[in-house]
Amino acid sequence: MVTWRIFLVWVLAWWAQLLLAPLLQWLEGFPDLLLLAWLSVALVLRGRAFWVWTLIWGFSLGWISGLPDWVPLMGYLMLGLAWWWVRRRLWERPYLLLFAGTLIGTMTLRLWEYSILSLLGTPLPWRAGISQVIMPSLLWNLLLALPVYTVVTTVTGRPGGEEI
Amino acid sequence: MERLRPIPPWLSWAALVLMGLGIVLLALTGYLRPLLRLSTQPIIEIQTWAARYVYTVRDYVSAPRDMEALRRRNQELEAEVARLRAQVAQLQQQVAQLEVVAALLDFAREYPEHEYMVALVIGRDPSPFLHYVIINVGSDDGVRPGMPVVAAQGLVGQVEAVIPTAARVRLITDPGSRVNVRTTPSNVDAVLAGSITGDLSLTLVPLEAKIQPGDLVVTSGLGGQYPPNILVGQVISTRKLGFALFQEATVQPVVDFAHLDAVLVVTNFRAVDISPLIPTPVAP
Repeated sequence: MVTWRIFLVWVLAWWAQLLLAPLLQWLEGFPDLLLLAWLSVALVLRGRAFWVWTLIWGFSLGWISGLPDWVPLMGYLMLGLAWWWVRRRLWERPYLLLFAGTLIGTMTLRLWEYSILSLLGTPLPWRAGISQVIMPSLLWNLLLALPVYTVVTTVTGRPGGEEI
Repeated sequence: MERLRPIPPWLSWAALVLMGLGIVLLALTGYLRPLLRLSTQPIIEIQTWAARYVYTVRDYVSAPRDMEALRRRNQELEAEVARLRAQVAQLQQQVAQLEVVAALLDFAREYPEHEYMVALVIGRDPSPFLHYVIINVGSDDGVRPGMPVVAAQGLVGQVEAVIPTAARVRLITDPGSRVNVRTTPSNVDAVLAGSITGDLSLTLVPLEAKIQPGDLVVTSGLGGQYPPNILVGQVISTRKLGFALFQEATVQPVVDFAHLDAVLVVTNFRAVDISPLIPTPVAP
């Protein structure tokens, strides 16, 4: 049952990311609702289910995005490792964990994408990359982390942070 | 004591008639108006006060029946208003769609040498570093990678990847996008480059080329990636750096990429892959 609910969150997150997130564009950045949904799901998942859903998130992003397929997949695997490390230290404070995850997740994914695209020859000035894309995206993600977490826990029906 | 003589009746009648005539005369000439106003004002005030209370009492007594009827009527009207509002919204949406389709049709009429397929933009790339859109036609509809995509105003981009029911289009504003273009009327060949901020610029423009702000930018067709003469934008400024080998120009795109709802895929154009023709350095 929980699997189906997380699947519903995944579908809703994709729908919102493709259609709603671009409407919230500030400078060249917009919220990463997929990442926020993943973080909210990651708060209640452990073990194999956590890694399976992390792979699903990364693979689907690689398939739909214009980025090379393996870039989002590797990005989410790195994110999963970072999350595992942070969760061991902040497990008693779920909301702090959520915001720390948002900060670390946004920076990890955006810097990873930026580095790979630059290495592949896409001209991306670092100053514009940070000030016009990464920082506005980070601000949006921090603003929307709690609302998305609330929506996700409503859909999944899990108490979320209290269980951790 | 002398007794008063009684007044003859005719005299009393004559006096009454005279008084009556006098009053009528005064009334006709308006001299009685202040007196009438003064005398009727209190009566009117009292009547107004009484009428107000009488009506209040009447409304109170008859209210329950009327209120019920009014409530029912109000509900009917509210339902009617809601229905009409929904109808107006639906019609407005249809008008907006028709306007988009009509504009696309105008473009298709302007370039009759191509075959087009209308597609709706159903999403944007999740990565903020990339400028891609996803459209609702794919390989099942005959869309292939490399097909140019245009809007009513001009060039949008190129199909990069397809699945049976959708396709991903790289916009010309994407940082990795390069389009061979020509300016008009200055007739200078250049390369149009996108950027991370979505701004367009002309690169590889020779220093001696005379590009002016206001010049139009159209596709040149060189390289075989796009058909020639599709409008791209307008030069808004040029800059020459003393040490640079080329000059640069900033281009304002004609397409509003922030509000891109529908596009046309040029289905009878195949991009030419000229990479095998590009000489590669051979090791000695």
